[in-house]
Amino acid sequence: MVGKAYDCVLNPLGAVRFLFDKEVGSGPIDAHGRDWGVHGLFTRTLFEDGGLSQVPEINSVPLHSIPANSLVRFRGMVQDMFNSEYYIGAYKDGDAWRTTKYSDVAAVPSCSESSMKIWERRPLYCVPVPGENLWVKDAFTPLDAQLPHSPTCSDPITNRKRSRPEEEMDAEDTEMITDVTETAPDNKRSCEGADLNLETKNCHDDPCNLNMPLGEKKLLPCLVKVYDGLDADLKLNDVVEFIGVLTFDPELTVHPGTVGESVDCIHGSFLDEDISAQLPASRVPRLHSILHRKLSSDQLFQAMPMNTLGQLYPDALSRSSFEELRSSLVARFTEVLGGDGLAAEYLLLHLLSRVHARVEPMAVGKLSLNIVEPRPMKDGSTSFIQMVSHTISTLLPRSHLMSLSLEFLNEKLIAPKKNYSSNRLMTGDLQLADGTHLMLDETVLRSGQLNDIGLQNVHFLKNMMEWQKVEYDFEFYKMEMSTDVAVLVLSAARSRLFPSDVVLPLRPTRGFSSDFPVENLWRWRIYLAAARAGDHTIDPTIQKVLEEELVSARQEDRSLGPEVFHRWLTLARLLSLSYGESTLSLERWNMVREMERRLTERLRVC
Amino acid sequence: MEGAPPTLVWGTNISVQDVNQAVQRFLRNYREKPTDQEGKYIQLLEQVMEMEEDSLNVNARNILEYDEDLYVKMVRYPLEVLAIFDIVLMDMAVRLRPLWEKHIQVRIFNLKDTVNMRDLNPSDIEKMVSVKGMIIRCSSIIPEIKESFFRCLVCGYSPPPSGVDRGQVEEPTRCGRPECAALNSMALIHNRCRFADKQIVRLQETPDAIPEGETPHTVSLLMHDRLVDAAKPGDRVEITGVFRAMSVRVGPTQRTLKSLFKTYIDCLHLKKSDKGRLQAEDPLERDIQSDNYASFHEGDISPLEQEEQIQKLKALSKLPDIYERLTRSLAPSIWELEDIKKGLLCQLFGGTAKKLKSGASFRGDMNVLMVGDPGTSKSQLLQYVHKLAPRGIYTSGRGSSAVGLTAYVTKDPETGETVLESGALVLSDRGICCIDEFDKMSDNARSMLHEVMEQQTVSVAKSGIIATLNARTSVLACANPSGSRYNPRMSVIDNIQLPPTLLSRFDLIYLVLDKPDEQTDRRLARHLVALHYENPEVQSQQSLDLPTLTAYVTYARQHIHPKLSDEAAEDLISGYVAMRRKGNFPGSSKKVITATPRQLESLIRISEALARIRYSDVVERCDAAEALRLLEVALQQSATDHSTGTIDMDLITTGVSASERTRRASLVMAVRNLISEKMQAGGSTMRLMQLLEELRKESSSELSLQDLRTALTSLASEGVISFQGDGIRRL
Repeated sequence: MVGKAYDCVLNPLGAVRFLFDKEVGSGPIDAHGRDWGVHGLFTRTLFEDGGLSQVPEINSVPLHSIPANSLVRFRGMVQDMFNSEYYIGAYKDGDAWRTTKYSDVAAVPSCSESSMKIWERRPLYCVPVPGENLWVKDAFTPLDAQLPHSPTCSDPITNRKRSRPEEEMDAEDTEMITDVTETAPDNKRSCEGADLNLETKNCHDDPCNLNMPLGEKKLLPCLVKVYDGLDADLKLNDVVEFIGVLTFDPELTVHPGTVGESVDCIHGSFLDEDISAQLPASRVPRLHSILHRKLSSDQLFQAMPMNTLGQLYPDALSRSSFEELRSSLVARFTEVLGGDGLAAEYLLLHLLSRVHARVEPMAVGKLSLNIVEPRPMKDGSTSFIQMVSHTISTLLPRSHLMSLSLEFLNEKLIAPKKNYSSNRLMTGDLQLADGTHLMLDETVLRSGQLNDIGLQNVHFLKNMMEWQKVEYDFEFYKMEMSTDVAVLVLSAARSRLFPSDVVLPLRPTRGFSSDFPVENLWRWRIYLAAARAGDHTIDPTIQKVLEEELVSARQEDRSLGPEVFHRWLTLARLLSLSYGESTLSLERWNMVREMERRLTERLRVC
Repeated sequence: MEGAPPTLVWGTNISVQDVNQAVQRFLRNYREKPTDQEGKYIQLLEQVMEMEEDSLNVNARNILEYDEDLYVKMVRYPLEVLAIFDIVLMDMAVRLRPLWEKHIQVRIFNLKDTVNMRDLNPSDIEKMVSVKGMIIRCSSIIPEIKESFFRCLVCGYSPPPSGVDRGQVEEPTRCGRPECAALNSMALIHNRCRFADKQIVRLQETPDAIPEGETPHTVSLLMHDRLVDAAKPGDRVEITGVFRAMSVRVGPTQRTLKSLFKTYIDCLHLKKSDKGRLQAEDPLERDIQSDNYASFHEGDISPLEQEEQIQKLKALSKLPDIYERLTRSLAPSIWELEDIKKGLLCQLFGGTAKKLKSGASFRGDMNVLMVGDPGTSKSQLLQYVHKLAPRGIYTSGRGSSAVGLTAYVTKDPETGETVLESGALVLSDRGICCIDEFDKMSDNARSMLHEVMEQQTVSVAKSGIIATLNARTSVLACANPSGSRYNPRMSVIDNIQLPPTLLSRFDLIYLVLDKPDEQTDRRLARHLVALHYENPEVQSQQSLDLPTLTAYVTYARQHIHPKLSDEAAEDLISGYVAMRRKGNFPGSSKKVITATPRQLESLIRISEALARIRYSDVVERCDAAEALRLLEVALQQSATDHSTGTIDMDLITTGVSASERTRRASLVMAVRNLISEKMQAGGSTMRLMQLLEELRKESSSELSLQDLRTALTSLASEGVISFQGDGIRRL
């Protein structure tokens, strides 16, 4: 053959085997199955030679349209990390060594120990990024695969209208699926054993076992297997793009049912860590990751295909456009918030906040905000909440609106919990990737009885707001996982249940406006991400001034405690960042003091 | 190759004979001290045979010490070497007692290195490993067939029982009796087969071994015979065993293998981690250890390194400012509140528990209550102690119904057995139970605390089970004052609003009050700014990092048991008597927290803890003095107006720096001297301004009217003078 003997995208395994054969030819086989040049090859082809755009995304492209064993991409959050899997990585077939790396081989011929090598890989359970907004999804979808509707939303009302038929379609879809599964056994009536197996399997298939975050229904989770210890830099709740081989081996999922009552059965229930057995391949595709890259919220834009962004990126980062974008965005927020400029400023700073340091047990840099809108019922305040949530969802990559009704709080735990019988971490709504925005709608909370679960949920939310930590329940002990989730509470009166860093009574002067100009959207998104990721320092002279200011403020007003100072310092930092400045100036500090003064005045009137 | 080739362990160049001899040498000759008469393992073997046991524990470190080569071989080829061990042991047993028939198994423990569960990898397969973790599930006991017994259905002939390897029963296809030789007539007779117990247990990493942002790993363990049910879910154990991977056939009849392996550890030895490693070495320490002290955290360091670390800790304890240094290291992110931190430090170290011959016992654990204004970082302190304490449990009084502050009875859904599930207090046995929002706790839950805090047990009487569980825990609680903010116009008792029965069980009750002071404000401001901008200047203050602090505390709790010296005892008694007298101030009856004999116990505990902090075996006078001071500061005694029970906010001493304290003390001295000079007992009154003038003449430093008032108030509380409005009268 002329040129390459393989095609990296269509036949990645061919490439792997080709390199493997070369490696075997050059010397004795490695006991640990270290990389034999596969990473290098794929990095070159995908990132340097621009092969990446040809790799389909299984987030958006229907699975059945992709042939098995081809190279695909998957963008998701690491939701659960399993034990390492030991597999027969290479075995001697006759005289030649064969490798099963990056593939799901159900079985290999029985052979002696000397003619096979045991290697390890790490399975990770990944789910679609919780709360990821539509525009991010669209941006990652290649144009030809995009659904006919326009990617950017223009109006929450039409948006909702449009989403209706989709939901209906969804319902139909799932109905059809259940139809299929119901009729399937009919075809096989002949063999009763298989029938039984299928039925018992169906019970296990219920969505909760798939552990989808935030009630996600449309998208698929993915079982990713990571090789060569590349999982070392991956942590729980990281958002990662995996590039690897999509495999589908139906045999693997059938086995557990057919093993029957051999002695292994008891072993099976306890020893078997083969997670694949629990997850039907039809619902959870397998991906053998060759390369992966983390997508934290500011890296997200770099990872997006160029066609959506064009030359926007460098432009938005220049200093002058920073200020211009800032003022236009604040003007926009003012519109949304009914003409309340102060609230718009606070909202902007809130959206920029992130945990930039941890001084145990404190999370420095977080700024939770409580917007108080005392007229929930007049002129349909649900639309106000919808509007804020919509505004945020069109600007930030990941956001989630949680309606804190009694039923919701009492229904199920929102913090993850380990289930030892299935050996999996059952997710909760608070298992969110860093940089996700969480909006709590407290206006729907009616008085009533909170049960045990409700109490714990409130405790979880409070903990998250106060310490940016979520307790994961491992039954024998609890583990605190650090999070970085900005929390915005919307309530009719100052929220006592969820004390925020900033309490902001809204003073609307006109109706809440909802029309959203589209032209600046992308630039705002990039602005927010860039400002949020900015670095910030302080000059020693300014530091002295700040100290003096704090001391004299406290001398004047004894009620100013450390928490107020924390807030001021956080605000000052965020305000500087919002102007694209990397050091704090006195001007910004005075602006913060002025903002705080106006806010205090407002609170006093309340 | 010459002569008869030595038998080699398959696939290696290890000679079976060599290993056999090495094992014999080791078992025969190993002595812990060269002076010992008989080899350690000979003695142990005799003991085992005496007790009719079936296993002999062998300390791997002994092997390492005696014959490193053997140790290496054993770790790398455990199956082969252990088989040789067993054979040698049998030989020795028969030699000791010719009629001995029972099989004695070797159980190796205490390997040189413990592996982290997540670091196990394919190269560890078939090697001996040692892993620490927590047991999360145990299967029911599985009978595993060891010897099969068959009988011919045609003629009734039974061949002798045959051994079974790995669960595969070889069924004879035809009767073994030549006369019969019937085909497919052999049936397994279950009652006459021999079975052994087997159990599969799942081990999970303990929280301290999990890197941040990861989920815990688990590993399956295979337990045999004696090890079955040796540990229960929730136990922290260290196990030694052989790491194995099992290939699985796709189907019972197919020749192909599944490409995935199942891994497990064939368990040889199990040790509950609570009983620390030190126990095996030093019989003297056993008593302390079996008392279940949180064991010294060793990780995977060798005794040498451990010794080194102990030396380092001891060197630390010799520092003159160790007390201050430790105080600084405790919750460095929280500003001021130094005296409270000192109190918490004492709680962490704890006093010594005493058991009298009469059976009465005195707890060594201290209980601390913090009452104070919201936003004074009480919760943060709590969180910090919770992290630091050997076995800390954090719970909020408000959610205590959900968290289970005490033990409760549940039915196991699988077995239907009634199980006692222990709650926070039992779980923190030998630790510290941190209770936030103590005031919000229901009276019911709080009443349980009475027993816990004095008797250190929890009694459960439900579903026909009456159980008393140990809850030797220190309670650290924090609460808001009754009006959510401290009301200076109300008495202390009215502000705290907790039943006095419960209050008296707290050794230290801190009133955390916010009080204006420019100096502290300035430091607070600098601290906060630094926190937000990571200024190295402030962070360089000398303090211990968290692991060192934990090690320091743990070592002290285990090894230092201070005794009261006579002088210190004298001081404590006189201090207590003075306190008692103060409480009996006329008209004070129910308005202040009066000293009771419990306070004397508290004083002893605190002074013991202070001695422990210095790693001193004797409680000195300085400890007693500091204990008295701490108790006084905690209650803001010096600031309390004993006639009304209210606190003079200007007099609060918490958060006052040491230099400020000495300045005040010297001022009081000066005033006292002046008064005794100028005034006669019961004589005429003196104006306040007049006194101020006099004082200003004498001292060079700045003196405000406020300072003088403060000094006079404390003199008044001592009963030296009476102080009304503007006039001062000497009594």
